[in-house]
Amino acid sequence: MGEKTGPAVSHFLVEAAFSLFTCLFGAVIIYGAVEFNIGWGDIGPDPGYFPFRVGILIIVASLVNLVGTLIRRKKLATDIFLTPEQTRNVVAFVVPVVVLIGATVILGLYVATALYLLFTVGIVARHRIWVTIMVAVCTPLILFVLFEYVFLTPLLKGPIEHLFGFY
Amino acid sequence: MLENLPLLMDGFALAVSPYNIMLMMLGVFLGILVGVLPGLGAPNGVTLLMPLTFGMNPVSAIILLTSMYWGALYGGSTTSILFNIPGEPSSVATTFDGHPMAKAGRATEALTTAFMSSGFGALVGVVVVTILSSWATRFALKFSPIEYFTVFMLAFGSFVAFSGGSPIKTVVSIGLGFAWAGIGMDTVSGSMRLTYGFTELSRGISLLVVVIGLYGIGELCQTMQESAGTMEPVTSKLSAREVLRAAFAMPRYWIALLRSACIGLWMGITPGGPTAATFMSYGVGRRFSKAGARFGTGDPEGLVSSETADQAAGSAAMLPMLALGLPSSATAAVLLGGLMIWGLTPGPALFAERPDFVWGLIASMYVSNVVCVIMALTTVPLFAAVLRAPFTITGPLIVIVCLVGAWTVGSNTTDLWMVLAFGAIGYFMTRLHYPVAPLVLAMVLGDRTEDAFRQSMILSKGSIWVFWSNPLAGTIITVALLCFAFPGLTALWRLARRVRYPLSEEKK
Repeated sequence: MGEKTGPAVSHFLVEAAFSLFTCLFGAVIIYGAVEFNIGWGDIGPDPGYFPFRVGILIIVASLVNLVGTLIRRKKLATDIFLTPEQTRNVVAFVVPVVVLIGATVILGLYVATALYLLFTVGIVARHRIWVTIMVAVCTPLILFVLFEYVFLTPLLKGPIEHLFGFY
Repeated sequence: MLENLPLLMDGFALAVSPYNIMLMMLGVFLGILVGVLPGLGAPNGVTLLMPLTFGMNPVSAIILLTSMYWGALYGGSTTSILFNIPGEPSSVATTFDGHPMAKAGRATEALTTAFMSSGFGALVGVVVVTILSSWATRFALKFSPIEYFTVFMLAFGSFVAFSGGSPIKTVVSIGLGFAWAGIGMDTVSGSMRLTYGFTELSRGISLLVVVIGLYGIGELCQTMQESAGTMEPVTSKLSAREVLRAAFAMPRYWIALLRSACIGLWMGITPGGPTAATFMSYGVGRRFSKAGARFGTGDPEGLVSSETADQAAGSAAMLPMLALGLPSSATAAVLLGGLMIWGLTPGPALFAERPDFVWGLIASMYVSNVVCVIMALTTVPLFAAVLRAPFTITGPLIVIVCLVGAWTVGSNTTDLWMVLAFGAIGYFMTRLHYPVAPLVLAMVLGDRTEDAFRQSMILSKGSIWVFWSNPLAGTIITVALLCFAFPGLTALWRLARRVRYPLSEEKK
């Protein structure tokens, strides 16, 4: 949703974009509801009856929001939603999380956790090397003991754990 | 009134075992921790812990989780006072007077006053829950789907009327929650709907995953947006003498205590929620109290007003939650989701079938709030130190905790991506001042609201006037509709009086 369009993202842009997003979402819900009957069936309202009306509610409310945003356009356009620096901070936070989830799916949660912490604590935040290693090594180990042995709720494991015989 | 006493005693016998006391202390400790840390509020903390309680006995599980809730409310006050960071939405009003007090060198007094007021509010709340529960269940027994639907509408209406901010954005939040709740199996006909051909969606969207995303990742994103400045508390040392002095000064605020407790109770039992309660109590105090003019500059009475109402509402909210299955805060909504996962159906039947559960919970509330006051006071230095730890380390650790939590919900990788998606939505919602609590409430109540509506329609053969067919339902639905219309009506009234109000309230 309009992440890096200019030097600073205006409040107006994001507000309008989010209204459009909720509006679109309402439309998707209506589309989904129409697949099932939205009217009155043999025993009462059909499965689509309620979602259809919820979809309409979302669309109407979103449009009211959008109109309100357009009316206050002058004021909102000068409001800064994200400064370039803030945008950088948010991206620097979100991108590693996306990679972390991707890595979790492939490598399992423990290994991905270690790599993610090495990267964020050691490389991005430049903490001292022993702090980084402490955090990046101890966290997955503590999680492993807690979840595999104490809570008995196994977490996602990948090829490396399989190598050591843990499934 | 006294008929509940033996039941309560049974509850005490059950709740006050060494094991449960240990769980209480653990819960309160974790609660204060999540209350203190940004990105881990009460709803999210309870959500993360919930999958680990599925194997526990429900009484112990609810004691652990509710203790965590109480702990988080206390932890939120600590950060509000020492760091001027409201750890919870309901402790925003605490910062108004708490932080100025701390800055003026009265941190110990502020913390003690806040915790004692919270303890008082909670106590009043539990006593009222104890007294009213039989009456509430008898009342609830009269409820048919028609009344249930009207009560649910009242819950949503009161969010629109009282949550502050833009009412129309509240409506969007409620709509999104309903829509997400509708995905998956239709509970009446049993058919799949709104899955758009994705098998992943046929299980429906898990409330827990949504909460972890909205409250966890979304809030972290917001914290990360500012380049991590170090957070320094005003002070982290408490002197025992000052604690005692502040504690003994409490009776001086008896009017404020009682007034705020009443407001809190009202907002807790009617679905207004703790956040609305704190602001209302603070506002009423400012207008009607002699000390009102000093509110906002570091007046203990302002602190008493918000804190007492906060806890009174939080505790009293257990009554509609247990008796009607109607949560009035996001955390209560998550707890309610948990009840259903444990196989317990909230409502009058719960009181009849599982008195051990209901009364064990109520009894535990008496004990855990004492535990809270003691632990909150003794752990202030510890948690002040936790907050001083660089956020560049705690932040990534919280991300890991959120992902682990999301995985334990259903051992499913789709949930991990969903957490990310809901995190993005949560970030934009919070930044654009869309309230998140109504969304969570709508997700929890979505199916039941729809069922109640459809059953009512079946009963009435499609006539909407069935909601006015008896005085009880008619009154509730009329009040609910007035709530929905309230923002519009006040706007019209202002227009008619041609009073120009500054729009500042909306911008906060």
